[in-house]
Amino acid sequence: MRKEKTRKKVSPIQKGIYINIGLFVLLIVVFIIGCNVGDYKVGIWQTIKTFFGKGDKYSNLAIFTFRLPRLCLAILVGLGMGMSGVVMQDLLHNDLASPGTLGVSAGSGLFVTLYVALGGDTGTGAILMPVLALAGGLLSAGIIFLLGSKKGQRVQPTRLIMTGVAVGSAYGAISSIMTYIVDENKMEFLQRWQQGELWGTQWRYIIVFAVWLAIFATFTYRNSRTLNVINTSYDIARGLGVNVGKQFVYMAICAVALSSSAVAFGGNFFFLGLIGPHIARRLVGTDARVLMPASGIIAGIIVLLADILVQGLSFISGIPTGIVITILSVPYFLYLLLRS
Amino acid sequence: MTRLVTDQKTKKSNVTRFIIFMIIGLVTLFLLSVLFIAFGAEKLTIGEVFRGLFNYDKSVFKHIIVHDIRLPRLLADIMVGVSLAVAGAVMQGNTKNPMADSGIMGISAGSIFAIMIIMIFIPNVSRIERIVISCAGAGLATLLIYVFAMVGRRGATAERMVLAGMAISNLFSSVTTAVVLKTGMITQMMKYTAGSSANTIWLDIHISGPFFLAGVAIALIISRSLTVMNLGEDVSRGLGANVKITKTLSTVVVLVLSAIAVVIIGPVGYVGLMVPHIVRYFVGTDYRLVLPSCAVLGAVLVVFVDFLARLIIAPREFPVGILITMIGVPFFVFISRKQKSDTFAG
Repeated sequence: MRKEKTRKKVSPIQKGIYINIGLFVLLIVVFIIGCNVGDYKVGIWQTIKTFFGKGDKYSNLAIFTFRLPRLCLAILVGLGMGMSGVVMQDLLHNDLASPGTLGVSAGSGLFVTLYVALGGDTGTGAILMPVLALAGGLLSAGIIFLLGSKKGQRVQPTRLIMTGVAVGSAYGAISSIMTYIVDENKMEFLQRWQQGELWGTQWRYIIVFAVWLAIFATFTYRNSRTLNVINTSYDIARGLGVNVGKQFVYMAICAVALSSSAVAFGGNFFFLGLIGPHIARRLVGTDARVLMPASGIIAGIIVLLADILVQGLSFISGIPTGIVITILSVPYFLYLLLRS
Repeated sequence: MTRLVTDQKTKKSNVTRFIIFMIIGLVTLFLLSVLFIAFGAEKLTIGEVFRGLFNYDKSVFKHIIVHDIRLPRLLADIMVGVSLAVAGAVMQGNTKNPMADSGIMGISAGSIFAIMIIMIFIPNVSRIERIVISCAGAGLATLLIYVFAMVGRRGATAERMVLAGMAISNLFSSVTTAVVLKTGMITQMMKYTAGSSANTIWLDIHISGPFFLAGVAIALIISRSLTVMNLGEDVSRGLGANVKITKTLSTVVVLVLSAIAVVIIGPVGYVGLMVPHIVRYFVGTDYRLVLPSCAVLGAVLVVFVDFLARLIIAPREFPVGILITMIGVPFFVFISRKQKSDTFAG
């Protein structure tokens, strides 16, 4: 990177880094605003004071017990989905790919649904749930890949996505059966969860989630250069000595792992993994080294904003956060479809 | 000249096949119907079934089962099967999109959305109003998907329509879920979204019957124009067909028939996708032959699946909509594999 610096004054990657820093600042700002939204008004100055340990009893309670976990979860969900979306889109050379459209998060979701429906306790499942979600996501990715590709032919992303849509609806059907055998409380939980609800707002979930994300984000990020080459063309990558098949599988597993933890704790945010990368690409370009963090941060901001809306506007308070995101992103998705 | 001859030959063989198809289909439907009425928690003999049907006696318990529980349900299944299959075929012809289906395209989700909204504000909404509302919701979704299909320079490909339908369907179901969660009507919604004909009563049949018959009749009337239209809009103009009227009428047919299916049993996807494909394999692409065959096969499919749905985990019932999805998904994957791929930018 230093080499590039000497050659050009502001290289794209440097610009990308600046934008990333800017986005991060924005994330912090939105985060602090998020701390202020709710029934008990804390005030921005008081919020910052509380963070440095100088808050009173009430602001401590409001922020540390109620708001902070939820906001952290929102950011983590965004990071996971946003980064996963970048990897999937780059791997498949298709900007309609995402954990949602490929049916991967539906697969993760199915396993979590089965776990909840067959008597699993969401309280003790802190470690088990992301693992199950990962298993479900990988299984789903495998099935979709097998069904969506033909022998002796190149991978056709559109076909994969179509298969993903169809398989996703099969998972939806199985999940609906499950909601029949559960009681009303669990049914409501599953309904909310399927629409994308930030439910895992206990610190132990968040810690598990954060560690999980950190591990897989590192794995993914270490290979971002390879991802860049693969995104240019499979042939060029092969020519440059990249073992495309192996890297493809490796990166795909990482992407599924990133999204599945988000699905396990945050529910099924269908469009998040799609629009995060899109907005990010407009800002920082296609280099995965800056695109991946930018996409994660942007998706985080989106979830935070949606959650602020849900918490702040009384007429939608209590609905799953994912619904707000879906309603806002469907027009954008249709626009993308028309443009492509 | 030779081409003309072969055309006539294939046409002739298509008609023959159509007749065979219809005979087999109708016989199967009849046998299935008898079985459908005979089987259940209370098993009936064939004789009892026919006596219940044609010699109905209110004081005999078994006759009441036949006449008031199983017959309306059977009719509901038949109506839904016919509606969905015909709507699917018309939609596929109208949009020239082999993947079109009222469930996949989000039309059913639009209906559900409208019905749930109205049930929140007016809990005791009458059945006929429910049909109208359902049509309105279906209309809204249809409008969205058609606008989408028409905007854009190259028109929408099959894949793009499916993705757009998925997004629209997602949008409607999200809003529905939001409203439902706010008002605590989750059980009612689940009842509607799973798709089951178990609670059909005669009133449902009486009220939706006219709409259903009108929809099917219009579909059959425009079947010739649909066939012509599929040759290309210029050709059909040359042949004197009014493309605009055909398109409008077929849109109305699609949304009325899909809306009725939703009112009767809930959103059932994939029937409208599968049936026309199977039918075209046998009888060709002439809509005058395709539509009646679709009606018969659609009815057979839904009745059969509902029959299974009552059988496999008896005495409890499996929601028929879910069971059809399980059959439909592999079919969808199969069709999408056959599609020529369309590469997106990116």
